[in-house]
Amino acid sequence: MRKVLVIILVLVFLWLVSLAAVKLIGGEKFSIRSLSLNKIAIVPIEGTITFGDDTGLISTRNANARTIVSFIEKAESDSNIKGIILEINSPGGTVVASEEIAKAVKKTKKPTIAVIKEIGTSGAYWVASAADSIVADPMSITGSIGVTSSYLEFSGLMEKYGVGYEEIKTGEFKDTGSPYRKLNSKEKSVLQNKINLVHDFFVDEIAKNRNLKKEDVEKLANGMFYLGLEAKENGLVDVFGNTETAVELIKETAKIKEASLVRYEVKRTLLDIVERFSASKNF
Amino acid sequence: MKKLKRKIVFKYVPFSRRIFAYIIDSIVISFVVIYPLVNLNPPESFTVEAMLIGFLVAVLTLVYWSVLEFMIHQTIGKMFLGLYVRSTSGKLKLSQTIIRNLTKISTLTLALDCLPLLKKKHQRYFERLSATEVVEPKIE
Repeated sequence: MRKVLVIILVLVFLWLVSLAAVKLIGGEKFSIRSLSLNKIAIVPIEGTITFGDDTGLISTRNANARTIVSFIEKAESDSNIKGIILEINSPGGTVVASEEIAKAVKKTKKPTIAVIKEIGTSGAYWVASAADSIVADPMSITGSIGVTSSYLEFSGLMEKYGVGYEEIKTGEFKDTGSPYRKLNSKEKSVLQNKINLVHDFFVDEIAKNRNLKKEDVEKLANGMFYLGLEAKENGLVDVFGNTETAVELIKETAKIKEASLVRYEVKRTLLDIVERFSASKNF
Repeated sequence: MKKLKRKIVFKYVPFSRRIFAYIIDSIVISFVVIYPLVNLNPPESFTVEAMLIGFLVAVLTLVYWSVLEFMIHQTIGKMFLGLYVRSTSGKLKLSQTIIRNLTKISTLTLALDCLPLLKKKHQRYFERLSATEVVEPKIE
């Protein structure tokens, strides 16, 4: 009897220490509930959506499309994951990177909910629209459906300082967009047409993803951002709430009572910090 | 009438039985220590968190074996197979059980420590170092 008691005490002690350590190290909830096999994946999308680097040493974060897609695929292949929450706090990003994430979201067979935190505009809204539902705060900033392309042009400054620009090219449009000269009207028109094509594709995707009429989305797609309140009225957002709301929605859809949350994010290692610091000090 | 004399003798344990006991203990540790630490919070490789979790798993594994062997001379695996740990130099001390289990923090160190068992010696290197042995009581 004493032996059994000792064994039980030792096992309970080890189990409690392990759970406490999980709370201290990983921030997981210290509860029996966290032992549930059902899990909900949280994939944060923070910063500009690109194919570039995930993190800066001190600078703002980027949302690397490759990393986010790999997280979504990882969650999809894990049978314990019952749903995916995209926690969005991003002003948008490049067209291809946003589309890549949106495609991965649409491909998943598990329930997906996009939660727009402070901001989820443009490309980030494109990603959100690919989810089954969009949850946002009434004061979240969303929408801004439109395409922009810009660059700095220095020809006036160069002229002021007597710097000339010589172009030797083979194609008519080869140096279109050069910052050292102004665009001519033909080039402007060509670039505008391309932007219009991207805009049309963007609007089309939003309309399909949200089951809205293209004409209705076209009316909203003037580049203007909308507060969550306005966005819900015009069908760009489904529910007011936050991550907890999304968790409840997934539980309802997946017909589960309990689930622990698993956050998928890039953890910066000591090696990364050293590497980035040394890279920023290159001479 | 001839009276039957029975006595308890302690026999050394074959390598296969010790491996079996080790597997049972490893399963217990997986559920109690490794599952909450690793499965609930999967660490990315080579992060500070991953290193901390690795260290904790090692320490708690050592606690499991050392404390149980010190207090009841057995672990759950050894209990299933009827094996006991005893000191070859008097009463079993906690320091002895800690030393004999030090190599269990890594599979590689344990494998190296077990080499004498393959050569039909009855003690691992760290068992000899800690003056302990694993025995199986038999009635003769």
